Amino acid sequence: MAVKGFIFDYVKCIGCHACMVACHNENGVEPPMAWRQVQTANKIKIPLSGFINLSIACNHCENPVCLAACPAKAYTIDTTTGAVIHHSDRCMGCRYCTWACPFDAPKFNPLKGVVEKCSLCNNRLLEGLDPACVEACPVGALSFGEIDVKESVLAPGFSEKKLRPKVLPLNSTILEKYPIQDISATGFEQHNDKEIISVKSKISAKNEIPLVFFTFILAISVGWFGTTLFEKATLTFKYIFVLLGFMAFVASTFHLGKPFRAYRSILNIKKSWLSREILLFGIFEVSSILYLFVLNEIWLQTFALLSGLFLLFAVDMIYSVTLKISNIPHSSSTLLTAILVFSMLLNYIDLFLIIASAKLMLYFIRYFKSNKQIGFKFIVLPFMRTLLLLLPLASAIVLREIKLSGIIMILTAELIDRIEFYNDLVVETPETILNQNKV
Amino acid sequence: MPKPNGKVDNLPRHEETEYITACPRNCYSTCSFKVRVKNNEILSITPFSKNLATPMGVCLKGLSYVERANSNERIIYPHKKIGNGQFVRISWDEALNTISNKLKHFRDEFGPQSVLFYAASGMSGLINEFSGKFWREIYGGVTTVYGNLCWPAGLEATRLTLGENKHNVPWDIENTKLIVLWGKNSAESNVHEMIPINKALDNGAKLIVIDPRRTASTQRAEMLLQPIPSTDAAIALAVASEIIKNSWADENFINQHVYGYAQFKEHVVKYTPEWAAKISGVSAELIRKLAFYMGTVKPMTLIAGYGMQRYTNGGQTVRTLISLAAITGNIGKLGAGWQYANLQSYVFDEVLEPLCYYPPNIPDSKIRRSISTARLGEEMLKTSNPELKMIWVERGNPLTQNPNTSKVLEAFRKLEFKVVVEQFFTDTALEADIVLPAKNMFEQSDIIGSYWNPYIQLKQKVVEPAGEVKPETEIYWLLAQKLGFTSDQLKSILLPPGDEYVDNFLNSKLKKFSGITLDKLKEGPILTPNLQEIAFSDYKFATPSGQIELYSEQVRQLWGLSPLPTYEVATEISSEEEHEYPLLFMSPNTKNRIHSQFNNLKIIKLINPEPILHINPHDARKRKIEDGDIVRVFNGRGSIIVKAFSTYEVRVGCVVLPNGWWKTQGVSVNMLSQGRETDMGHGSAFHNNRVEVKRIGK
Repeated sequence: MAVKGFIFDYVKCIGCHACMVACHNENGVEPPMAWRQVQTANKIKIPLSGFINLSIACNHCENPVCLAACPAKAYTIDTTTGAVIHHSDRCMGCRYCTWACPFDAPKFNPLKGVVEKCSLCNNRLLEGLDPACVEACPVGALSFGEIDVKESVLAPGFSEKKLRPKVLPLNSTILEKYPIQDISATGFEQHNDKEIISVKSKISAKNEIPLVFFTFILAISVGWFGTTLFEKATLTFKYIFVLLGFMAFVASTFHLGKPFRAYRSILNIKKSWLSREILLFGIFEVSSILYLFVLNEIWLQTFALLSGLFLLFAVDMIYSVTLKISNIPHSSSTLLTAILVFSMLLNYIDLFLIIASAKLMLYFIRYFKSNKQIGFKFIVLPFMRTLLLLLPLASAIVLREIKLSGIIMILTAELIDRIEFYNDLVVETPETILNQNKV
Repeated sequence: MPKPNGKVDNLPRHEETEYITACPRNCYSTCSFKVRVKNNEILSITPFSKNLATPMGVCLKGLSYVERANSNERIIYPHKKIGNGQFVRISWDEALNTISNKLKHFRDEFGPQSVLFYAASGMSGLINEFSGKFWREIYGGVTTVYGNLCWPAGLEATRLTLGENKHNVPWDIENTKLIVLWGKNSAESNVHEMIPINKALDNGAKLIVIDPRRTASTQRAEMLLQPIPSTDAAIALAVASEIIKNSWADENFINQHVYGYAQFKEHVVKYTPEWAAKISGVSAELIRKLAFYMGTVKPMTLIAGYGMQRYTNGGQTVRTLISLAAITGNIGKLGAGWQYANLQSYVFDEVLEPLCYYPPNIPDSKIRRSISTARLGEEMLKTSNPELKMIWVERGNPLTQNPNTSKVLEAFRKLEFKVVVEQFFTDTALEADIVLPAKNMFEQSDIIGSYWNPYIQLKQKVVEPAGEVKPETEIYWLLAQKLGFTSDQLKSILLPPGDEYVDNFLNSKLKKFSGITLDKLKEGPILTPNLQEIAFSDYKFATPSGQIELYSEQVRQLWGLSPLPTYEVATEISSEEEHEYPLLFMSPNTKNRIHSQFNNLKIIKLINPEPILHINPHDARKRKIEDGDIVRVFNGRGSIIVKAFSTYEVRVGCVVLPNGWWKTQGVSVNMLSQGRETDMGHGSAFHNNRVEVKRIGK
């Protein structure tokens, strides 16, 4: 069945931004928010290669990853128009959809605490009108009409994720066209030039401090709880365990734009890893605390531990929507951290050595694979991380023992790694895609 | 969108209505569009397809009228400046009393010419003529400026060569086989021209762009020539020479329609591509290629921008360009032509541009036109007998837009009293003693032409003025009364308040055209009566010889220049200052503004948040400038501090900062420019600027 979607012509788009302004007028979008964006490939006009503009909003995918990711069921699909609609009154502002969408369509509005997104001007469509951006395009680069939906779109600026986006880009080969020009007038020195426009990732540790702590605490909690299986069947400082759980809860709500809608976070168990994470977090905390304080039964202990392990798996799965830097696991995987904590607390030296060395190896591979720039983040932090892991490792080899100071060092190193994990996350957007096509 | 506080609520509430109107900005496109209004508020701007030149939609600025009209930053009451430089709201009565007392005082003490009336291109329309009438007939005289900031050199060059400033209708570009965009960046400054350009290219036409920048318009170009700014004439002369040498010139056409070809031929023979390459920095090979295209592909439409004629050699440069269209026979034909300005819709003016920019031959006893707008600051300071005491500014922002901002500011500050009529607190408004709220385009009807599309259009009144805004006609009416005139006396001179008087006035203007009425214009734009869709298709040229004048005696008589088109070295550009200020400073227009209008709006700031200097990576490296660094751009006239971004878009040796930024937004680019006149037409040569750039920090 033919469906309607945006048709975009790279040859006609001159990057004039009229579409964007029309969208603001129609939908009352307030700057700095923008539902539609205009991006450019080869913005700095490197000679002997072409350039293009791309006007892009939401492609109203038939396989909408935003809808799947959203734990709060804030997304629906209009059955008449096929528009993927975001309902801000159901949104709790977790921003997970903004990481999941490779078209950068959902955007978080910090003033309102919720996400906003192109609605395909659904009301206009229902009245038989075209979307406002289409109507306004002064040069006919943007239109709206029947298209064949493919698994993914192969065109500059579009992610190859198989989301069945309802968009048809035309004439993308214009990117290969460039005029004859005097290279000497352009100052271009082919071999000396390193032309990289750095595009900021949507995710950074600085903006996700609550999440850094939330996930870090979860890893410690699960690892710590795991020790009950082997030693005293309970925890010495069990009130601190409760406190950690509470801190994790606070951190997880803190990162929401609408903390009072936190209850919505478990509405999408069927599809959203975030919903699963929150649910498993609740189950783990309740069952482990129940086990520690009320019902000292093995089945409950096993149940709590299993939910904890699933929880950590869910935590790691959440980030599968982001771009993978490499195929190897990240050294700060919460599961590895949990096992490390577990081995340290029980003084299982061999297990500790295996996990710590594995982490170190993973860390080094990652570090040398990524071409990082020089600076505090890329020199001092890695140095500390390595040192704080190496010293306890060395001492464990020699002394066959892990001291409290060692544990503190390791935990600090793990926290640094967790921070780096968030800094390493890259969300695919039209801007990042257009700028990675280096010439 | 916050609504301005005003009398809006007292108005009868009416339902949503849609009107057809037109954009009165100083812009090629002059779009027709529909505007939806409800409860005296602008709701939306949508396309009006029956204007064949702008059939799809307006640009981002046109769309931003929704914010602009409803902005809570708009000035909707009279204001006066108090001690600490702040402005406070005052009543109309207080404002008019203060102004009329000052006016009387200056007239009695120093004579009416101690007042400078300064108006620019902020809003076009026929009603603007009442401003002049007030100063002449009511106040008894005034000082005004002559010349123009924008385009006179090219207009004069075209007038002297072809007799008139007109060209084919925009949609004729579809019929061409070769488009040469010479110094014009249509994708930004004339968005709608890209429609016929794209159609022509889809039909197999070729596009060549000549511009120091690799602009947005170059995406589909075959060839890009990036000359050193101001050297275009050298390229054109060499191209002419090559065309003639290779016998590509259209001898038939030349014999019939071109005057002075023999002299021209003899004149250009010495200009080889190698000679032009040395001057322009464009390789001889590319110049030969350009000559080949221009000489052999027909029809060719040669479209020139306004930037390159804002140099001291601008007029002659444009004459060399026109000669290329002439010798290849690309005038008066389908898909061919010289496109600079199409004034065919300027049917209401007695004296057309560029002649109206001339200072009068015989000084008028009332209006003193002794100040060149190009040298506004300097000449304001110099003016004596009587000295200037007061300025009245409307439709303009001279503090950012006229050359040499420091001088203009000095001249402003020397005045005793300043009145600015404005919609927003621009740099100029901030210098005023009294700021009067200006109408916007939706608050008073007027008729506008276009210098690109061939329509007569009605810019309709669709809302009542916001707050206490009064159209200038009403301000002058009230002021005249304060000066002691009765309504009866004023009726024959000024426009009385009230929409019916506006309509009557506009209808009276339309009387000379049968079939065009105000009511008809409300239904949409009307093609200019007697329009030549293909300009000069009658091969009548209003020059002394009746032919296209490659040799123009008038050029010598009027401007003391060579009657043949020549390349002259532009002042400052290739001079001894090269060492001290090695970079050429370009300040083009951008799609985000019309000169200094629009950039205060939130939506425009989102797209274009701050001034950024574009510099070639080669020049940036030499100065250790990295993207985002703060740099100082300076020369002997001033300095500005901006962020820098390196890009190959800019030719080596050039830096680019679009004009129109306000000081309050960071910079006025004209801090760096010099008040100079162009070689002809009394234009402003404010692009002859050398600068140096230094990194000052992160």
